[in-house]
Amino acid sequence: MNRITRASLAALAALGPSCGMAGTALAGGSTLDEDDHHAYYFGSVKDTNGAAIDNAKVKVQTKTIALMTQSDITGAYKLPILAFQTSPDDVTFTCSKDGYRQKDVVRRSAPGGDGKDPIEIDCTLEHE
Amino acid sequence: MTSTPTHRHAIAGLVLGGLIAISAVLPFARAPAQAQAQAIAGQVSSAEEGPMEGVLVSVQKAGTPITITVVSDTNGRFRVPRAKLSPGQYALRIRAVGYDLDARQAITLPSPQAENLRLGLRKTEDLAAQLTNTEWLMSMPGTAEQKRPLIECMSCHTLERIVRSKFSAEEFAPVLRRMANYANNTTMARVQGRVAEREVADERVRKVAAYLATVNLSAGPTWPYPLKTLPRPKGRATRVVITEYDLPRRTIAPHDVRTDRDGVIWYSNFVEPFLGRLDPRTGEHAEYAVPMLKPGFPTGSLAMEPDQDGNWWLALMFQGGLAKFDVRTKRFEMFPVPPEMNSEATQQSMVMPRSSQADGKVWTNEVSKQALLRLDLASGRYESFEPFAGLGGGRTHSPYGLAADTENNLFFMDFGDESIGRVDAKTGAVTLYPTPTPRSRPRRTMLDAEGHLWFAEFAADKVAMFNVKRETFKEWDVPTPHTYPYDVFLDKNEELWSGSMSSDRVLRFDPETGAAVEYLLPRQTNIRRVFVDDTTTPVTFWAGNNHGAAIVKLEPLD
Repeated sequence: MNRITRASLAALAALGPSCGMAGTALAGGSTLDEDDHHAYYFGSVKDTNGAAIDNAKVKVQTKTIALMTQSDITGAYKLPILAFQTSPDDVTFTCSKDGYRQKDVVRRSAPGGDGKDPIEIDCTLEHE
Repeated sequence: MTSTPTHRHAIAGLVLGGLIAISAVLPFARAPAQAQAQAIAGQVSSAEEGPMEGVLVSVQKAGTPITITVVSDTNGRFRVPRAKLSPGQYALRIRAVGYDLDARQAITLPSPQAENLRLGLRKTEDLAAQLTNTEWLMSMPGTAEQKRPLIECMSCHTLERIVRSKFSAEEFAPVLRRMANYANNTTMARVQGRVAEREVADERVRKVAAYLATVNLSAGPTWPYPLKTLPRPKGRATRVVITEYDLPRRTIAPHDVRTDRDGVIWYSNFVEPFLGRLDPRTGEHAEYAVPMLKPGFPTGSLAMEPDQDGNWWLALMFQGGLAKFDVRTKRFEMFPVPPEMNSEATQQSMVMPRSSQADGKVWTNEVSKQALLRLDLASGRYESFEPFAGLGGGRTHSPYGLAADTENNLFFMDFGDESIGRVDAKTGAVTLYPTPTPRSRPRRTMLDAEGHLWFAEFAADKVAMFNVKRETFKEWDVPTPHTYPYDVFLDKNEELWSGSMSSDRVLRFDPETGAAVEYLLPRQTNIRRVFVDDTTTPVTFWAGNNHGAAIVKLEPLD
């Protein structure tokens, strides 16, 4: 991690109610595996020229949980979404890669919706 | 995080009285006298193909519970090694999809014909009876989304049961609702109902029922689609000896199977309150009765794991808690989930005691709350961790396969969804790492000495590795779609082994080269936890046949 920057995720709390427990029981005693669509975070990691950066670590962090992944060859990433109740002040969004430092984080999608809509957060890294 | 004292000591005092329930010596074949030893060997052929490669030939000595299986080579030749045999009468059977043995075959050793048998095969009249779950899923029309719910069914029964039914969509709906109220630890030999009732959403039932009515016999006497089959084993996959040890009751459902330091097999019984022990050298079989914690609730245990002293820990499913079996005293110590945390739905499927020496704690899960529990051995308290509490998105999660590093930090599989999780042993901090493949449903896992977490992606038909230090994944497709790998084991040669509830095949996979071998098993074999005994060369693979009341040993010849 090069530097942790507080993300501008204030709009997170403006989302509609989460769609709640969608679990439904089926044979074999499982309540798993619904195919409804769900919200998630997605976006891309780019350098200051707009070029994709792969294998960057992307992390969403609160006091209780961290969600972590890496950007793929196109710079894209996807992460599970935090609960609707999460206070934006408790959330940090970071991207990092050796040789880079984080420049800015931009949340692109409009707030609102039914809580099932994915939220796009893009991250820019600059060469150190 | 919550903390509650257990009633461990009271319960332990209560149960330490009644211990060994059953102990039996099976009439196993002892080591044969070398002078009399003969192999059973010969050639398999059919009118259609001539000499046939990849035909499994199984021999079982009358009055014994052991079946030895070998596979015919490229010239149709097979040989059951003489070291596995002794004088007496053997019944023969074969497995080659599309074929039956043309006549009942038996051989009494010693016999002048024993090493020159001619086995003739003829086309089967009932191909459907020979299909694996994987082959049914290959054959059925429909989308991947339509087929996806069927992978749950295999937990209790084969898909043949579904496709041979004649239910219409309307008739399927109540069947599906009924199925949802059986315990996970149900087999066709022992059906167990849930105590806590579960609802199934109408829309969900309607969709699945409608699909099932298109793949069964509701519309006519035969299936409205061609039956597809997988190819027979070839080359390296034929160079193997498989030994099946039938257990003494049809109801025994071996789930997790491992050897101890002396090479003796221990297994958890998924549907009955026993811990099993089988000495493969002498045939001695014993069962140790697990004390009942919640009478009237389903019995049986799922995960069985050793602690650093070689004692066995069992996750007691709907009995609500953990059991520790002391291998020296042969006694159980019971760790029930305390009443405040214990509901009618309480379910512990997993246990991870391997690094309990680090901090005196043992990890388990609470399926009904999508939570993890940690037992403190000194105080007898359970703490609860809710790793998904901070998440939104309306997804269903379920902490399942567990592994612990040397500091007892926990790694867990989110079997409900698509993440690997980590819980820091000191701070309780949770980190989730989604797998590169979405909705992969990672299932069981092992952590190797290099800090690589190997696991099966059940719903993604992949095996995978998570590098704990680098926080990166690698995934590999299994060779056969619809395999649904349950677990993996990395052996001393860094080859990965995996089993399935679906394909009746054992996968051996080299992550370095991508080379894969699939060994076909002689019978329908519902495999859960897999284990490789690294003390032999080549290594020896072990698993239980969860629905077939047998322990399976697979010895590759290379």
